[in-house]
Amino acid sequence: MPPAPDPALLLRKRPRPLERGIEFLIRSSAFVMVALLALVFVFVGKEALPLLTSPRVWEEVTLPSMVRPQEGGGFSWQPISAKPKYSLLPLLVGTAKVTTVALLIALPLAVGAALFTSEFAPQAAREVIKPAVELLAGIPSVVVGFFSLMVLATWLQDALGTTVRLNAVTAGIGLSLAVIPIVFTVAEDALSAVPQAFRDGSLALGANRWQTAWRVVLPAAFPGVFAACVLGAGRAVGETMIVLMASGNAATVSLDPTESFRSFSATIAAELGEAPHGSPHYHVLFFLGAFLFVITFLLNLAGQRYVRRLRRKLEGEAP
Amino acid sequence: MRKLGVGVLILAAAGPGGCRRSADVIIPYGRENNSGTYMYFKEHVLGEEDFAAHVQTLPGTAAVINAVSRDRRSIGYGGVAYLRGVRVLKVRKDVASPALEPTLENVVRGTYPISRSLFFYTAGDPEGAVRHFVDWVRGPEGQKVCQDVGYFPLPEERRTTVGEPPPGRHTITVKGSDTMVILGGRWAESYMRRYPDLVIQITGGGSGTGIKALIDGETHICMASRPMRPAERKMVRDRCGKDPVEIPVALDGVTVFVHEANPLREITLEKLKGIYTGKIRTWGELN
Repeated sequence: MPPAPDPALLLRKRPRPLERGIEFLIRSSAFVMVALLALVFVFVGKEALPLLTSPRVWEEVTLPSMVRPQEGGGFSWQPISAKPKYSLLPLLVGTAKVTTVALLIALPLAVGAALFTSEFAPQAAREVIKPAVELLAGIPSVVVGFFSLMVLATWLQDALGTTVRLNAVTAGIGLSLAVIPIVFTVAEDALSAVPQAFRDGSLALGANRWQTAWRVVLPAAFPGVFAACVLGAGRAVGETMIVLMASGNAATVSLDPTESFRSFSATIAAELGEAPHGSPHYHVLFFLGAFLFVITFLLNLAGQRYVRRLRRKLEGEAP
Repeated sequence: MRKLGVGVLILAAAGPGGCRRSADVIIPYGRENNSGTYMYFKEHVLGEEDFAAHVQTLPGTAAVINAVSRDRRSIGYGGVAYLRGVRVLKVRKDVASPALEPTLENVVRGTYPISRSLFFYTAGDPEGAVRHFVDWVRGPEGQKVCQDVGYFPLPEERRTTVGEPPPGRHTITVKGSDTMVILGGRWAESYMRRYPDLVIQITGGGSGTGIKALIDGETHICMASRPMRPAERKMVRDRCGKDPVEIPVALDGVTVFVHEANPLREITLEKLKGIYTGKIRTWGELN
């Protein structure tokens, strides 16, 4: 009987140009991704730069003027005015406020749900929960914003007796609906990836399931869970539509979550269409965009570094 | 346990601020700053003073009306045509003047204190298909559509007659005021039914957005619910090489409205200014 054909030989017999062509395509798609990111950064930076370099723009607004208190002691954002005012502070406080509220709601819920799904839920429950969360992710953010504006705001006002309907609590809850699916998916993956041996060992040593989940599995999966939270935070900072519709957009400087606020992303969305190309207002808005970009970038970078450090500690310098 | 503590913290922060029994506070709603209605209000009611920081903004008159209809302590302003679920206040120019509603008569005569023209702007005199559309809008058919939508037509003396349509297919872009976008859409519909070869594309985005589009050469006609500022006119001249032409196409009264259950019936311009600049914070101060 003739010997069976050697598969390696067969592979080598295929035309090499096709392989090289496919390899080229795959490699270039990776480069395109990096190039796109760089291009976006360059474009935004280029349109934001005149705030730092153009004397014509400085006639109306400078970077220090955006940070210092204005005449009269206030911090006001009124770009359309006889005397335009561009203070960064209300927007910064507003964005920080809603991000905090959203994360305080979303992170415990999402991580808790992930822990439940990976450690305690029976298979049947798991098959309902995971698709349900994915469906939540599929809801367009404009619909979530609309829901917050129309329904949630009134519910909350009746329940909490707040003065203002559209505030950081309303927008924060809406925002958390967008953040939860992201955090849940990544955290649940991280928790499931913990080797079964950890659980078995813990149970064998006499711990119950709750102790195992809380004090063995969760700490073991901590790098992944933390990465999930950082992702969620990045999403919360940049989310536009929900905040535009449910925040009231009032540029106040207040730590009170039951007061209306104005965020970076909503400001850019609302005002960019109106700012004539090349006007100081236009450059300020791009500066806000660049600022957001840099914040999210640094957040992700710091998060990644911390995760890497944690992993190395947990796995003992494994390659 | 940690999560419980955090929850208590939120309620504590919310407590003093939000859960106070401030049944008397006025909640003012307005338009975003890309809106012509915002600009008109700022100029004519606030006298170019700044809006208070706590004035909430919504994208579009319909959104403002919706918010006011759900909030018993609120007040809002907007264009005249879309009122549902709120009570319109009569406006007095000052304490000695009569309190007037934004009716057709009061707006056309100019006695309603906050009435304004709605404009089309073009870069240079309109020609060809654009000219035909503008003439039609200002003619008897266009002005009838305007009335049907709920705005106020131009007085007879300012209307025009329509000539023959230009030959061939043409597409005309119209962009701008959210106050005017529904009116614009109805104009476009009726016009295209009458002249199927002339296609109109209408989008909103706010008067400011429309003006910017005219400056950037992205639209034939800009709809604006406020006059162009000198700086904007200069930009049109610089970028397009022609002066902007201001064409009044309809009249509008800016309405001030409150929640249906609010007993207030009228307001003076000065009190209105006080509310929106933040000097008047409670309903009690209005009496």
